[in-house]
Amino acid sequence: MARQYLDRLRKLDPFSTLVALPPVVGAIAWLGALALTGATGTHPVWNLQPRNIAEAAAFQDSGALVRMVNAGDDPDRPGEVRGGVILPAAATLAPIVAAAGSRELTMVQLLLDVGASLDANTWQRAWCISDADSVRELLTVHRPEGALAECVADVP
Amino acid sequence: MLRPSPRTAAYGLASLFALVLACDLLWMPVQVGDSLGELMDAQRSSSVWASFEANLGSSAYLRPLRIAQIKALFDAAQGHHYWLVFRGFHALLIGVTLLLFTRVLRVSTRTDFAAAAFALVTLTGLHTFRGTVQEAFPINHFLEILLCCLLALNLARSRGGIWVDAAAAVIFTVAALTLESGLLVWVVAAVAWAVGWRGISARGLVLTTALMLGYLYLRFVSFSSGVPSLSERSSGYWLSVLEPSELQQRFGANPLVFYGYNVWTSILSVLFSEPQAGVFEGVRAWLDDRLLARTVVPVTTSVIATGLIVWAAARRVVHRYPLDDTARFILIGIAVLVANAVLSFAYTKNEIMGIAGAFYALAAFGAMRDGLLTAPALKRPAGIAFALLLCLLSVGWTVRSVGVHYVLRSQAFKHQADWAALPGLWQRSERWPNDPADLRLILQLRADAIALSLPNTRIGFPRWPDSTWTD
Repeated sequence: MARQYLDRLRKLDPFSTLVALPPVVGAIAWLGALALTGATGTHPVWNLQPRNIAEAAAFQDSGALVRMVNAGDDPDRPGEVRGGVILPAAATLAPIVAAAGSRELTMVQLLLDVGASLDANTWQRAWCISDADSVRELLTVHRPEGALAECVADVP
Repeated sequence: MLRPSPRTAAYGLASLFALVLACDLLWMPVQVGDSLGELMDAQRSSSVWASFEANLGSSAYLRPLRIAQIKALFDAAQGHHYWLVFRGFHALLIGVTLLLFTRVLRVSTRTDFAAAAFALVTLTGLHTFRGTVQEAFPINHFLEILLCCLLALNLARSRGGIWVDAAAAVIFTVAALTLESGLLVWVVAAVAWAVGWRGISARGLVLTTALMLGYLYLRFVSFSSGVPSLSERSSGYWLSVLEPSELQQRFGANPLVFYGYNVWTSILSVLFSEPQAGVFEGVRAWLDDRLLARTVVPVTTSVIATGLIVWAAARRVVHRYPLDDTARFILIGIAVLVANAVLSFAYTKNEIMGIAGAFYALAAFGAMRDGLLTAPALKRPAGIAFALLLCLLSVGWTVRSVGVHYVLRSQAFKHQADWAALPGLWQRSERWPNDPADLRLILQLRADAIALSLPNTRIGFPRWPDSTWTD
């Protein structure tokens, strides 16, 4: 049987095989990624799933954010955001602060649309965590009374 | 153990590509932009015929079948299953397209299979193919036209007969009344006849030509539909995208310069993956000192593949070989490329050149087959070097092809974000509808979109996909 296998290998056109192999492997890998995602619920490459609304805002995951709010989660409740996304280390942030930290105007706006509120303290933290002009322009429009546009070293 | 024939293996591989693309398409919401408005119009229309009739003779286009199809699928969704119907139809289109593409190759040997595998990744890896999958309006009509052109080519390679001629006429009519690119069906039929694939007979060609003349009369005389103006949309020009007002300012007095640029860059785009949509992205990246794999790999693989096609064509001319399938694929490819580029004179867009891209992949099939048959006959070092080049080329195009998965995941995430933001956006701009039917439609579509749990490609973790592929 081994001899038959070796005979077959010798008859194979090696260059044709080498040219055909990458597309076949690529298609199988593609299918594998989809199958793995279907089986585990998590993509093998893009596997960062938010655990709370604050993380959804930090990860710019609008869909997850809206699903969580629809499920009854409080859009004002602070949550832990893993390190390396907004800040170097993990931190507990209000969702709107995390959204401001993502530097994405649409995330801040989305949180306001789903009912997130801005008190003076939260506003200041959001202002200081984001250096994006568009985010700061939006925050200016929603600035509550007494909110200071001053940033100190330990904020947030 | 039963071994599949090369032909069966080719269909198997095409089916595998069709399956993964279909899965990726089904894992994507119906998009907001360019779709929601069409769906709301479809809801208001009383019937498919009413949609067809209302879109005869619109200002710059003649696309009544495009709107009628949207209405037909909308009605089939029965008020609930929009995602399933529209994304399902998209998945079906891609599957049929890939199988038709494979069928026309007529794979019979192992070498053919290797060349077919290469052709499949060339087809799916070319940036013009992305436009056939990453968006839908809410039907991707560019993909429909590609399917029609491949159908026509398959008919041309058939044994012929009156039903083949009738089918060619029907396919042309459907394609031409869907999108302007549908005129390419006539180009495929005519050039196929000219190079000796006469499944569509002279009679069929005359009939299709008559239908095309009828289309031109309808468009430019009867309905006076005209052509898109400079001020209609933005378009790429050298290193940037020019807005309609800029286009009007620069070229209003002499639009032929701009049109010539669009035709020329559309051809270059297919052959060299640069420029794309009229913008020399690679040059811009090089000038900005930010050359990444996602710029270098497409240009390099396209330059080599085009070189391979030129080599295959040149050796036939030099040695005066009789016309074979490879030569026919190359000749039809050239004709479709030029015709497709001329049709995209008004503005550059990757998806418009999707048909030319597919025929480029057919020419690449023939050229790769030539290469694989030639390599063993060369002296050992040259033969091995040539063969290794072909293998590396296959790897490069596979990398490009697999990048479509990243493109589709990124688009899906973007579409979902658009739906999430829509209510607030429309309420602030006073566009939020009062009509209960419109509200029901929007809320159903939004709920379908939000319900999908999608991988997050936006925040750039890990970093290597973003530097390898363009989203």
